[in-house]
Amino acid sequence: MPIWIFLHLPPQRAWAAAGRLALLALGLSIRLVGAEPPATDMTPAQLTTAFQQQVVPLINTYCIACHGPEKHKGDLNLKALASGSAILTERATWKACAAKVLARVMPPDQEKHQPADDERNQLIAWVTSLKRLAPKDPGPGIIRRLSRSEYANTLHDLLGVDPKVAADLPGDTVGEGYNSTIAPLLMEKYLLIADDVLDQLIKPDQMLLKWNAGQLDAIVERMVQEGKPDGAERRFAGPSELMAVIPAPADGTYTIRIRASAERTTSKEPARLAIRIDGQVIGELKITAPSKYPAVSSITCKLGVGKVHLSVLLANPFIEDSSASSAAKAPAGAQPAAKPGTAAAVSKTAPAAVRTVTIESVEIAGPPAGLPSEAQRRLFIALPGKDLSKREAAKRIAVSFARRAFRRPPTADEIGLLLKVFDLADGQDEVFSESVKLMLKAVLVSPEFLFLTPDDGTTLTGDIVAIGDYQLAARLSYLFWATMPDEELSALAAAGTLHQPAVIAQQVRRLVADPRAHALFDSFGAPWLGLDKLEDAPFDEKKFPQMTKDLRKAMFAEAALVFDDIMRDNRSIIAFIDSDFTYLNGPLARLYGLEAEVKGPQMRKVQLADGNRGGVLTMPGVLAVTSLPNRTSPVKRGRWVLEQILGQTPPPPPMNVPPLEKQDTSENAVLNLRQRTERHRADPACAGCHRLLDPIGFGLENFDPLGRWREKDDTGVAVDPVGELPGHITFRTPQDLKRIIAGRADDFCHTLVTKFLAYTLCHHLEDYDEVVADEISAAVAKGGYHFQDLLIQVATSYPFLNRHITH
Amino acid sequence: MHRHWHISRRTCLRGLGVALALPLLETMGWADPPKGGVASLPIRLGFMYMPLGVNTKQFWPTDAKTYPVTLPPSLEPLRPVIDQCLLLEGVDNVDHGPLGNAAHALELSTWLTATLPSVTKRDSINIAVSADQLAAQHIGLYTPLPSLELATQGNSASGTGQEGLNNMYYTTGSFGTPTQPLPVETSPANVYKRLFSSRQSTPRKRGAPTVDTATFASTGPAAGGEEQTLDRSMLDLVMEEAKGLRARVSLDDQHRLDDYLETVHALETRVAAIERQQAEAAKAAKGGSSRRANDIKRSDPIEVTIPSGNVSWSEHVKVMGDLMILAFQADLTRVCTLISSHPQGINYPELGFSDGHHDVSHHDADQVKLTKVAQIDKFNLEQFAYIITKMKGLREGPGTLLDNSIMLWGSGQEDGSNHSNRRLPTIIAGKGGGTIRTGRHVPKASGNQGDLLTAILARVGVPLERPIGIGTKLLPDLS
Repeated sequence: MPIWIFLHLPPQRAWAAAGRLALLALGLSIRLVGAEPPATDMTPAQLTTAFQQQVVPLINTYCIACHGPEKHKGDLNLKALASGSAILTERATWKACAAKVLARVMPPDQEKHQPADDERNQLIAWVTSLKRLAPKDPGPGIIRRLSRSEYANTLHDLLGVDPKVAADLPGDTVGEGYNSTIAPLLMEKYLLIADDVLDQLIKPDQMLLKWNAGQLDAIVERMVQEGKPDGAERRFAGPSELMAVIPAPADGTYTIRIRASAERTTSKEPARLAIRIDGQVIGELKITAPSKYPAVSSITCKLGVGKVHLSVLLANPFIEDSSASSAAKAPAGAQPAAKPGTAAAVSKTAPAAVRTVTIESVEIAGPPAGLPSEAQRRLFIALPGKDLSKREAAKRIAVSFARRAFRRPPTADEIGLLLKVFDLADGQDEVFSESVKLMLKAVLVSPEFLFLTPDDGTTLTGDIVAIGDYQLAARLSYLFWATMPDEELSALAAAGTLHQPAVIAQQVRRLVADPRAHALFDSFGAPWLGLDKLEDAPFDEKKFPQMTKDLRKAMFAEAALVFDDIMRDNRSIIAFIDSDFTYLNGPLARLYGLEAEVKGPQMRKVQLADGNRGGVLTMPGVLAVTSLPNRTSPVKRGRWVLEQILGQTPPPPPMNVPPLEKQDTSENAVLNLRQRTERHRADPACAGCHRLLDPIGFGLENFDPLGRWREKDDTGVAVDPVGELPGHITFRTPQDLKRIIAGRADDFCHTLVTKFLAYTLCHHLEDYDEVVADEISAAVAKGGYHFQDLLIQVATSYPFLNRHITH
Repeated sequence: MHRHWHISRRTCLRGLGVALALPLLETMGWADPPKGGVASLPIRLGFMYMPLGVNTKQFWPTDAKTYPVTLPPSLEPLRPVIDQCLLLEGVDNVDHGPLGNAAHALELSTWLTATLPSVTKRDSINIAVSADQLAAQHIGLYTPLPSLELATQGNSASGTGQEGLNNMYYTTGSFGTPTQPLPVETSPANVYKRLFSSRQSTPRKRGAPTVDTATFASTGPAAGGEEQTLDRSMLDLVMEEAKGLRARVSLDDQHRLDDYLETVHALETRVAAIERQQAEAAKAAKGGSSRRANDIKRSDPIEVTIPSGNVSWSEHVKVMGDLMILAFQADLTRVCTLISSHPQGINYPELGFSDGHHDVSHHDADQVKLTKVAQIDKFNLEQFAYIITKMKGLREGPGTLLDNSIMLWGSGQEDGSNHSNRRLPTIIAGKGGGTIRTGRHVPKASGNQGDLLTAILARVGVPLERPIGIGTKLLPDLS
């Protein structure tokens, strides 16, 4: 039984009864109008009996001729469905049948033999009650991918980076029908963002420059050859020199490593590369590696901060026989003019055979530019040293990081794999910080990070398992804060106490009290109210120049702040429909006619004296998204109230009649309300729906597309807000209308519960979920409709805490 | 360790960490055709969508004798390139059946699938791989990006709508798997970044620890002993980890994870394709081989200006079109879908009226609305004509880029007022490498949307086990 708040209204039963008829004609939600379903405490056996006694005769009379053992039109044999367990397993089919009977699509018009209204009613009531036969089943657990904002917030909490790093991800919102798949574009961006973030945070603990020799400038045979970005190795035959500039970031010892090989020669003397810094030879490297097996040789030197010029010179470009002069054998460094010119001078006396040396790469390693960042110190909880191997240090880092990133302790296997990633880089002489970076990158693109995954480690036996405490911590945290669990949630999960209903309730209260809980409006509240579309909703710029980005933001913020207020102060959810306060800033206050009271860009709480205001129905944002770009649409507004507040989904208009928009044309606008309603009622295909849609929509006609109060509509005709709902319930002002709707608290509560539960479970409510939604609604109603009760009821509900494993 | 080179010529695919050591844009060394394939210039596929149908009276030619001298008003923008176009009238799409009241949720999602979504699991996505993605799975193997999905509006959506269908059906045309709606890129700057940027991953050196990649890497076209980047080897290990997770989750979730693995695998495949293309380009650059790619005369890559700040819808579509053309020219992809708006409809302040597209599409024979619909149709075709004209002006071998392309422009409804998906507005531009006879109007197409898509894919050599969606044959009207 609905609880009626305004008892002075006309007999509500009358509305319920009239509504039932209207809805029966329509195929609307049956729950709402309460064609009395079988008693709630009916056992499965009793329901089956009721079916045999009340429903089977109807089917036999009206349906079986076409949908029976003989004919089964549309592949439907009701005889087979009506027996034993099929009644339950085929509930979806029964629901589809009931919808057609409701909508009077079935039996078809041409059938002379039509069921009476109460017969239709009986069939529908029975189908509605069938959900109670559904087995207690939490539905499949869904490993949901983090949404864009969740991903951004998590990176922020995990690494301290600006959530804007995720701005390039395609947007997505979570909730009913959420799609978790990762398309290649997304994966690409995850990799890219991981790179950006880690590059930003982790400075190499060593300065390291690496070039392919082909990328460096060289002098070959007195000619300068510029390096090419994609250059590979360089092959020197005869006098040659390779040049590079080293930006030394700090004073200290630097190591120069050169990977090279030399062609075998007759000479016993190996090829020698002279290394010079700013013209000064600091030493020589002997290149003994044969061409097929290049090897790295290295030399160290002390450098001061600043740019220095490095050159690598082939010191003995010519192969000389053993009788060659001793002067030619002297180290190249001993010849100050050991430049190509000099080498050429030597060639006058030396035999013509030249050495061939291939230099693959040049690498400079040196001290880091500065101290590691704060974030880096937090990540690198261990550093290799005398008592700690690199791998062991990497392991400690992996365990600590994965614990936070995976939102649970990582398994030994997972750590093993991460260390393999570390080995990949470490095995090729990357510096420690770079190898760790690759390992952390692997964490950030891992499915354990990108998805909210189960932590129970269940071997897949048994159909239904309780979700583990770590997963529960993540579920709660992402639900209310859109980010990873904080320390308190993690500690409760580690202690294994989080799943206790009292603990959950206490945590929900704590979570919603935190400013981060505004995330629930963005992800759930805004799509519920349709405000997620406000930012991009097209508006006629000439007619409504004030509909700027800022005003749209303020409209959005108003709803968000009211939502937060109701949630934080644990108000009754009825305040969503009817309340005496809102949040405004200057530009928004202008729409309310309160520009004298509220000024400036700051949003603040405002008491409302005008009873026509307050509540989402008359909020500018909602009124705007339910308007057309250049005018109001009573039909859209009426439909919005039915769907989002009262939980009914009007079917789309039948194909053979003009669409809903047609009803809003200017020609109609000059008719008065009664005339308009009559027009809708004239066609039975429209009547049922519009009997509810129109009065509600026209009842809000005092508000223009931006939500400003008006006495006359676009055509200059006075707005007539008087309306009548089925059951002779009349209203004279938007305030009356709001209060009538607020009076349907149970319907609103059930709608909000259904939407919130579907949002948390990410799927359309089915079977047992519907039973849960009924139970939660009843419990919330009993406690006085407090919003936090609703949130806690859902967060402690069976489908929230369990999952079904399907093999 | 990353190195950032300040070199404009070096491009790479961001995120993949793989550099295209590019002379690609200069030599555009095309990869070899598939084994047994014919060595010819690659054929590009473009799909461009407009929602909500057309004003049919202003769209279809009425007099075969005077066509194309007399053009219907909406087609006027195509006049300079009408000889490059083929008008196909009478192409129907899949019957809505039990989803009869979901016309808008179906118009875009069935356009490239010619398939009805699953009627039983309506709140999740379950339809079919779209034609562009079937093409991407085959001809996309030879380019750095298998395909590009561009749009002017994002396609994220939540909840369910008409007939209880997932709202992503409204906004999505490309499906990578039957359960994977592909996100679209709406920011020209991001597309540009994705195509050309300067990040690279450290190559793996010889002698580094080897990773068992047998499971995943073996199917890529360039698998084997090639050098891998560190990123690629790292991803292999991440996939190992995903396999561990797979064992802990429910069946439905296993499918989600499989999609994840498939995605990572696809990236690896692409890396392989890039590496191979790079090798080809390098070979060509060395001049060692007289690759045909170098012998083929072609226009320079077009210049694309990425607008900043607020852009109008038409500018947005044009720059997306430019990026598509550039990607085609550089052979970065051969398949591109451009959703110029989706069925929730936009409005066109550029045309001087603010009515929503959806609103006027329900014209009920109201002349004012019909006129606006025709204006919108014409405006959309202006953008298509811009792209086509540009492609026609770009030389490629003996012909033009357009000659080597098949550009399908269409809508998923005939006329927004009746929600019908019969006689879909359909225009093909480009000769498809000589496989399409343009300059005609076919007043009565002899097949449906599935047949049309099948015939298009056949022209680029996509092997199909069966015709697409409701198709039963190759639409014979193209050549």
